[in-house]
Amino acid sequence: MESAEKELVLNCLNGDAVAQRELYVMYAPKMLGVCRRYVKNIEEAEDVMQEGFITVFTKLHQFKMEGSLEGWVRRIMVSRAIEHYRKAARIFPMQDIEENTEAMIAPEEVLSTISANELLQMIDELPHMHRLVFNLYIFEEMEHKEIAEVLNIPVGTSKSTLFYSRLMLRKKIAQSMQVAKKNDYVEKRL
Amino acid sequence: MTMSKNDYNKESDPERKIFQAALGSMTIQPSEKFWNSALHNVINKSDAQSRKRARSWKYVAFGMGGVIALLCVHDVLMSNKIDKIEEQNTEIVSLQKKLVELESKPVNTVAAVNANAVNTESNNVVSSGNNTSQSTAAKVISRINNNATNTNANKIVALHAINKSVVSNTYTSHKDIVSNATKPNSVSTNVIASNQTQSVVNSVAPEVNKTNVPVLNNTSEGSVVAESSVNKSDSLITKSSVQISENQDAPMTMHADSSAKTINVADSINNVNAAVAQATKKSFSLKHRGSIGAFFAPGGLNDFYEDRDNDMTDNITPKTVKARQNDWFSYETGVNLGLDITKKLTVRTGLYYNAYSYEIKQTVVKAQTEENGQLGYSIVTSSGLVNIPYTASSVKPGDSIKVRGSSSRGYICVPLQLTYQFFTHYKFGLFADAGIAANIAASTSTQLNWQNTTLQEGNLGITSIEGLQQIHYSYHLGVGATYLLYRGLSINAEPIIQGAVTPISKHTPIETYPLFLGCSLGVSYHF
Repeated sequence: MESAEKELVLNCLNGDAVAQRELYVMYAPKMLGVCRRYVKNIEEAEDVMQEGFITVFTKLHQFKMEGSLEGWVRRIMVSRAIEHYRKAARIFPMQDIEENTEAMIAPEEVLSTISANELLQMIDELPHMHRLVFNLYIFEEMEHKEIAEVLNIPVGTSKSTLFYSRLMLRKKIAQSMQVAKKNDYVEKRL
Repeated sequence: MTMSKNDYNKESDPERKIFQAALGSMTIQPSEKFWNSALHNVINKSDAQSRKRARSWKYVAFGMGGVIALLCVHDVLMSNKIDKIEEQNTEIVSLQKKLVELESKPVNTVAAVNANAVNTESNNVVSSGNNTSQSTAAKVISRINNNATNTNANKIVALHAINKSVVSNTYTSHKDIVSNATKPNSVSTNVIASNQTQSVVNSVAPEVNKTNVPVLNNTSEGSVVAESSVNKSDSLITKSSVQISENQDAPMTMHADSSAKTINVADSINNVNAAVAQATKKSFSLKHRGSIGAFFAPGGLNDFYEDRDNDMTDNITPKTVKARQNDWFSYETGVNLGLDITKKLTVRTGLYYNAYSYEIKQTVVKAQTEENGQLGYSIVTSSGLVNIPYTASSVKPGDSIKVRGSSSRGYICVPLQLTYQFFTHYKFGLFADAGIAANIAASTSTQLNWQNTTLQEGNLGITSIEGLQQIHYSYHLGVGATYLLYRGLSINAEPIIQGAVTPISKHTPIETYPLFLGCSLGVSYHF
């Protein structure tokens, strides 16, 4: 851990308002991005992040000055996002998803055709549980065992949920790519 | 490329590659307003425990203050009762003196009641002088008009009738005591002795242990014509009564009356004493009166600010808000009802209206991202955040406008006050009052004139202020003077201080505690 980060944490613990603000300013944009992936709109994301920062400041004394402060803050945000869905009791409904394997297009091709916002919208369109598992697996790089513990679900459920999430996203990506190609074709013809 | 449930591999995971590359480092800038508000909430909640402790101490302090105040009120009430008893004693002593004065006047026949016997029973009530007195009856009526300035002519008429029969002699006394209107402790006494009957009875008084005291017995012309003597062991027929009335013309509205019976002189005197005590007791109940009043208090406002300890924005501080504002004319007006707990202490409540206004000096306001994600203008004032509905042109990042204007807010107040009248002289009185009030925000209005960088300008009327507390509490302190005009109608003037106990704004970068200094001018009527 960098000494500057350590000093920042110590100042925050001493109730230094400037340091608290600095910490907030440093991590708020990133954390809002993290929270946004878990919820459908910016307002909800801000609520989650606010709750997250409350936890950060109240539990800062528990930070052991080992590892990354950003990682610690990020984990808090993720757990607040999960808590957010638990409170709203939206975590449990499962949807029957048609098992339909789709061929995955090359990532480079996807990234050059589909914008980040479109991809974010695709995640938004996932059912809540699927979005959670997908986010935890893809962005937080958690193993299924961890996900199962965090969400209090069986490991098998985590795996199958991720599988169906992938299927849905592939389908959406494929559809989006087709539309993009059509548009491209029309533009060229014109 | 096809996939199955088991082909997830971090290295070859296409979704991971796509979504991490596109969204892994996604950042979103929170809006400025959200930052401020979130910061407040963050620190408020993380600081909640320490604040809770501080609040607990505040409650303890308020509780102790309340107990002390109750003890003070109790003390005042008790001292007031003691004052009353002392007042009555003073009146009795005054009466005695008057009687003695009358006794010393040259008369043909003297009749008197030795008032010292009332208290000490050691002296005898004696008629003295010529046993061949022509008069057999004299009547002494005590009339006490106790008229206090703030209680509206409370008249106590006491009738002490002592029918004395010693060897066929009968006497009654009629004493008329009128207290000073504005100084109840100062009592002027008139003693009128009148001859009720003209029958002539020889008084035969025992000679043993006899103390001669002249006995007044006036004729219709005022001259004393009878004189007799009695001693303590003599037997009397006594009847004592005390009357309480609003005026002299109709004196018989309340009375304590002992039935006529034959007892000795000392018992008779005790009987009179008891009747006086009863009258005194009843006179207390007459002090529970009320008053109604109206006032207008023009004055000025002086805001005190506290930087919220969780405010980490450097651009909005109490200093900047104070610098951009100028407090204007403010006033308080209303009607109140008072209930006299004692002669000096009054509890008061009512319905007041406070209007506070201030000028917003010319200020440059920069465009900020609003909560709805749009760019807009807003200005922090002592009342809260005023959102400026600027629609003259599209707002771009970095834009700014100049604004100036005025703002006002009105409150409906429900007060609870204690008024203590600590000085009275004739019709003039001085009082102090203190209390608390709940202030409910009733109206807000902000008039702004804006000018943009292209020198376009316009006026806006804004009726809402974000962050203004719907209710806040304030204290009230004042010392004033009152002057009785006519039959309970009085005017008063009182410099007052009114300060907020709780801030008038919430979720704003600064906390505002307004302090109102004014002079209340009003009229009140005691009923």
